[in-house]
Amino acid sequence: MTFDRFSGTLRRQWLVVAIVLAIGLMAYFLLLERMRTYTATASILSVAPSQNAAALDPQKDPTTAAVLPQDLPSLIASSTVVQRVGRDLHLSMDQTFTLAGEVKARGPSSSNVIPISVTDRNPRRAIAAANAFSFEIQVIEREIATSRYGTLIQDLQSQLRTRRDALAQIDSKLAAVSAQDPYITADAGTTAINTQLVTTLRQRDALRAAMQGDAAAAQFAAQRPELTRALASREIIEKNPTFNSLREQYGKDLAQLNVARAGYTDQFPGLAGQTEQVGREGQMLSNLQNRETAQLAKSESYVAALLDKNKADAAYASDRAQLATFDAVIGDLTQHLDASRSSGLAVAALRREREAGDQAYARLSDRLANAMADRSQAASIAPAVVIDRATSANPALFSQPRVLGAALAIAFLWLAITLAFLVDASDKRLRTRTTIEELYGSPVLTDVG
Amino acid sequence: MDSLEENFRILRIRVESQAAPPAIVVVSAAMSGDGTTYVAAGLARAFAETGHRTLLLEANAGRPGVAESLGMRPIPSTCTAVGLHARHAGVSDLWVAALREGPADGTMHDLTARMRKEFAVTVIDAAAIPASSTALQLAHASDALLVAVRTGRRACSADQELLRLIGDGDVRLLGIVPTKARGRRVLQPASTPQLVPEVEPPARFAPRAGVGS
Repeated sequence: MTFDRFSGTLRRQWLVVAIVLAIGLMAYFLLLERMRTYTATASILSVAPSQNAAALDPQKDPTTAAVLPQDLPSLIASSTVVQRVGRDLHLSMDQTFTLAGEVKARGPSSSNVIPISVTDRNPRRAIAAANAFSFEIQVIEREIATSRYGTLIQDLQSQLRTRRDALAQIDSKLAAVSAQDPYITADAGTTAINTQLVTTLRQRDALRAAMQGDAAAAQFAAQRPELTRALASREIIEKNPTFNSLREQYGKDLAQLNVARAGYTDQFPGLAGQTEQVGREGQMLSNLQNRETAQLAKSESYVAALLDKNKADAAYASDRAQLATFDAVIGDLTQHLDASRSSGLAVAALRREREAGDQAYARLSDRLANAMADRSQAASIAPAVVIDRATSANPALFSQPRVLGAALAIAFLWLAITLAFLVDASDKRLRTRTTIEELYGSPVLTDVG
Repeated sequence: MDSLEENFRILRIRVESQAAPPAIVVVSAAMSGDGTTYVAAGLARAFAETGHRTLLLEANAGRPGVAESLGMRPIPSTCTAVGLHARHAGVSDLWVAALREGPADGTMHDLTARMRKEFAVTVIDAAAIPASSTALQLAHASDALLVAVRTGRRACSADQELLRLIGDGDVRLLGIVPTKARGRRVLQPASTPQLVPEVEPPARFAPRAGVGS
């Protein structure tokens, strides 16, 4: 193609060229405004886990990273991280979606340092977003590292709840049995029953021994009032002045009678009267004695004997009552002992089950503690570390007017020339000397247009 | 210097090199409106400016425009084989005449002979050949045929018809003259000729007084 033909084509298609270049000019100003972007970069260091460590394996070393460094770019651009960053920066939903297309992270080649770049029209937001991404990637990697223990911890906690429920059920069963018979469910209940039974039996034997003494004492004390009755009567009579004076009169009269009888014969005229008087006085004395001795309570000795008898009877009655109580307790204990022989097996089974449950609960607790400790260890050791925070945002290459202008000029000039030639090639009108000569088979002499 | 005038001069030189005076040059086209009048008038004036006694014959009865293109009053159609009845166009050595209808049978030779006799160069503004038998007759009788083609229009069957018609007969197609304008175009007033005629016209073609109306 000659230059003339080239320039002729452009001249003929000047409108196409002008339109394309005008569009290019408008695109320049439009893009100059829209592509004025800034890029901020933060760098994180991610240590690769050992090759033998399977991801999300709870049994592996908790200090190893859960996310491979080559997976970090995908993780950074994931919706989870982007939404968290959007939440951190208080972005709207649309801005968050836009942010997803503005972040880029390069996978590791030979280095474990992974740059996170955010391109935005606002340099401050680009810096904030880059730092937020680096922060969130730390957080989420820590969460991923600890999440492998989360499931185990949840499972262990669930098992512990189940165990607690089972133990509660066993306790409720034991409580029910205990309500029915406290001795059976008490710890070492049979031994306690036996001990108490033996003690009670000893106490009953001692009581029986004491009761025999009390019984003897009571028997003796029961005889004492009869024994002291005569003494008491004499004591009563002797303390009665009427009886004493009457008895003294009776003695005198009887002595006189006896003197009379000794000195006189039965025909002595006074003898009958004396005899009658003595008889009367004797009768009176007898009546008085009978009357006075009928009231033995007046005798202190008799009263003391009665009191002793009552005391002995009371002690004996108390002994018998205690003995009855002991017999009742012994009977009760014997009954419990007999009952423990029948229901003791079930209680023992419950206790064995509870002990087994306690041991299983303790083991689960140990595992839970270990898992939580591992999770804490994994959380405390950050697999990804921010080694370079974004502090400045650099303008993007195409946000520089000269670069953008040069690029667009080249692009649209090429487009204009291409379109001009395409349009010209598709134009079947008689526009050029060549097409006219080809049509008529004769030369064009000159152009007088 | 006006490039348009220069183009007509170039055209005149190229025509003159192929058809020496006295010559009859027919300017026709495949379609009406391709600019035959414009080319014919420009060429005629270019010849006249070099001192050639030139006749511009309007033979396009359906679309007369010579007078308009030269800024003249309408040209009466009085040209016949008996008398050309040419009138001066106001430009040195340029005469104009109009042929309303085709010459009667057997008079074409007389007509062309008269043209050759009285003028060094006769430029005929003919109608489109596919649409006018007169134009075809004139083409056959001429020394050269120039075809005006308006650039920008699409090629059509008329172009093929033109080629077929001139190919069948003994027509010397000298070349193509592309034009651009659609519609009437008026030539600029003639300026003082700047070019010295390359060939001095023969004495017998010297202008003669009293020729024409």
